[in-house]
Amino acid sequence: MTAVKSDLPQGTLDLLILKIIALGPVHGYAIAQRLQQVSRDVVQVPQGSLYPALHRLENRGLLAADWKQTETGREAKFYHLTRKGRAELETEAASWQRLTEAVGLILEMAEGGAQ
Amino acid sequence: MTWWQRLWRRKQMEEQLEKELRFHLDQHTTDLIAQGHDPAEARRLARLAFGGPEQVKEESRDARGTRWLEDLWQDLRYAVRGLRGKPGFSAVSGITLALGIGASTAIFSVVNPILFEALPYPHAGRIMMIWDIFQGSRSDVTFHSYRELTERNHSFETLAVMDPWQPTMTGAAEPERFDGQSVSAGFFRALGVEPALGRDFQASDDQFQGPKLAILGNGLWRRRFSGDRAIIGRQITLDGDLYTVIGVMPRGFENVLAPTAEIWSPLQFDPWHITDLDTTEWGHHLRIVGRVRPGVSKDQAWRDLNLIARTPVPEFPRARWASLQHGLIVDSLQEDVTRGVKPALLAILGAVMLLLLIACVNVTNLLLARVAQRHGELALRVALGAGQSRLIRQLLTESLLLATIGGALGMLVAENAVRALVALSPPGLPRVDAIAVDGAVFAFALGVTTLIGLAVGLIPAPATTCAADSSKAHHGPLAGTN
Repeated sequence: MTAVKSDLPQGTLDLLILKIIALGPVHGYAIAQRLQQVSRDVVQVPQGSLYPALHRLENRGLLAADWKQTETGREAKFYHLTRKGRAELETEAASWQRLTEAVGLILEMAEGGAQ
Repeated sequence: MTWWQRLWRRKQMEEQLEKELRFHLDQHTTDLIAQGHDPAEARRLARLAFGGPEQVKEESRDARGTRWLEDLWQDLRYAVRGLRGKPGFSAVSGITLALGIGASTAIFSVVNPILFEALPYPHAGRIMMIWDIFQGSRSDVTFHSYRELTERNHSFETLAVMDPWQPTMTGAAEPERFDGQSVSAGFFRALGVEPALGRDFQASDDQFQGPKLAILGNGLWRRRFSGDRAIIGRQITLDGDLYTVIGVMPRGFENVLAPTAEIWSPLQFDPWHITDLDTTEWGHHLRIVGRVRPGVSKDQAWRDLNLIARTPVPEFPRARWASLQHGLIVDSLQEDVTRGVKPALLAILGAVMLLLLIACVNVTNLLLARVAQRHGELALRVALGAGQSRLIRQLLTESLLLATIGGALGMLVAENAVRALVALSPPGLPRVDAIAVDGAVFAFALGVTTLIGLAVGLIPAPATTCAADSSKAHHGPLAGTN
C-alpha cells in the first residue's frame, strides 16, 4: 500500500467511473480494480461506495447495464455508457480540465513570485 | 425504466443488487487467493476493502430514487395491519368519518350548482333581472314599462319579458297540457341560447296579431314528436289555434327562469294601446330579463334604468300604478334565482361542516388514545433509530388511510343522500336538475378527506415526542403493539 492517500473531491468519482466505463462494457469489480491500478493506488475509495454511485448514474440515464457472462463463466452486471452518458463525460472532463489548468496556473504563479 | 417499473420490480432489483455485490466479493476473494492468501484471510480482506455491505445496499436503494415510495408502501402495509388488528377502532372511526364526509359532500353537491357555479349560459354574469317596486318590495312590471325601458336604456344589449303560458295541445294523440312561456322576441338572446333546430323568434314575429308560432323544448320534441326533424314548419293545435313550429331548443338547455317550461310562443302585446289603461298591457304580470352590454356593470345598469325611472318623457306616458316613482331593482340572474334559498342553504352547509368537525374531533380523540396505547411500540421504534419525522410520517400514513376509507365510504353515502335530497327537495329549489355528484363534488370530497387525514394525523403527532423522550425508560407494554 502506498503511504499517500487522497480523498476524492466531491463529484469526481462519477467522472472517473464514466471515464473507465467509456473504455468498454465493464462490471463493478473491474471498475474498482481499474480505479486502483490506474491511479497507482492514490485514489482510495471503499470499494462498496462504488455501487451507490453506479446506481445513481444508471438512474440518471447516463449508464445502462445488462447481465452477461464473465470469462470465468459467472454472471455479472456489465455497465456501458448511454449517449447521454457520453455527452456528460465530455462536458465534465472538459470542465475538469479547465479547472485543473486554472488551479495549476495559480500554483505556478505563486511559486514564481516566491523565487 | 420508469420509477413505476422500478417500484413494481422492487423484489427483482433487490435480488440483482444482492447478486452484484456477491459477485464483487467472490471475485475479489478469488483474486486474493490467487495472490497467495489463504481462503479465510482472503474473504476477510475482501470484506474489509468493500466496506459495510448493508450500508452499501441502503445507499444503492436511495440512489434508485424510489425510496420514499418504498417507505410509503411499507407504512401503508403496516397501517393496514394496524387497522385490521383493531377492528372496533377502525370501524367506529371509519364510519364516523364516512358519515361526516358523506353528509357534507351531499350538501355541497346541492349547494354548489345553486350558489357557487356559474349559470349554464355564455357570460352568465351579464344576465340581469329587473323589478318594479311596489309598497317597498319587488313586483312584476307592466308591458309599457318594459317597452319604455327597451327604447330608452343605454346599458342593455337585449331586454325581454316573459309570462307563464299553459297551452293544451289537441290533435292526433291524447290532449296534453304543457308548461310554457309567452316571451318577447329577445328572450333566448338575453340568455345567450339558440334553438338547435329551426330558428329563434324575431322582432317581426312578436307583433300584435302576428303569426302564431311556437318553439319546442328538446324533451317535449322527443316525447311527443319522437325527435322528428321534419317538425319545423309543421302546425300543431294549441288551445284550439294552429301554431307553426319554428324551432326546437338544444338538449341541455336549462331554463332557470321557468324550469318546467317546454314550449314558447311570442308575447304579441299591442304596443300602441298606451292610452287605454284597461288592457293587460298595463298589468303588473311580466318578468324582465336582460343581458347588459360587455363591460357594463350591474351598478351602471342600475343607474341607467333608475335615471329613466325618475325622468318620464311625453312619448311614454305612464299609468298611476306604473309610474316607476320608487325606482327599479336590478339583480344578477344568479342572485335573483337563489335569493329565496341562499340563507337556508348556507345555514345547512354550515351545520353540516360543523358536523364534520365534530366527527374529526371524535376520530382525533380515538387516535390520541391509540397513540397513548402504542407508547411502547413507538418508544421501541425510536430506540431502533427511527427519527421523529419518520414516526410522524407513519402516523400520517395511518390517518390518511383512515380518511381515505372514510372518504370512499362517504362518497357512497353522498351518492345516496343526493338522490334522497333531490327527491325530497322543495318545489322552489332552483337548478334541481344540475344537482349531481360531479367532478367539483369529487374534488371537494377529496380535499376534505385529505385535510381530515392531515389534521387528524398531525394533532396526535406531538404525543410521539413523549415516546421519543421516554425511549430510554423501558416501561410500557410492548405486547400492545399488535
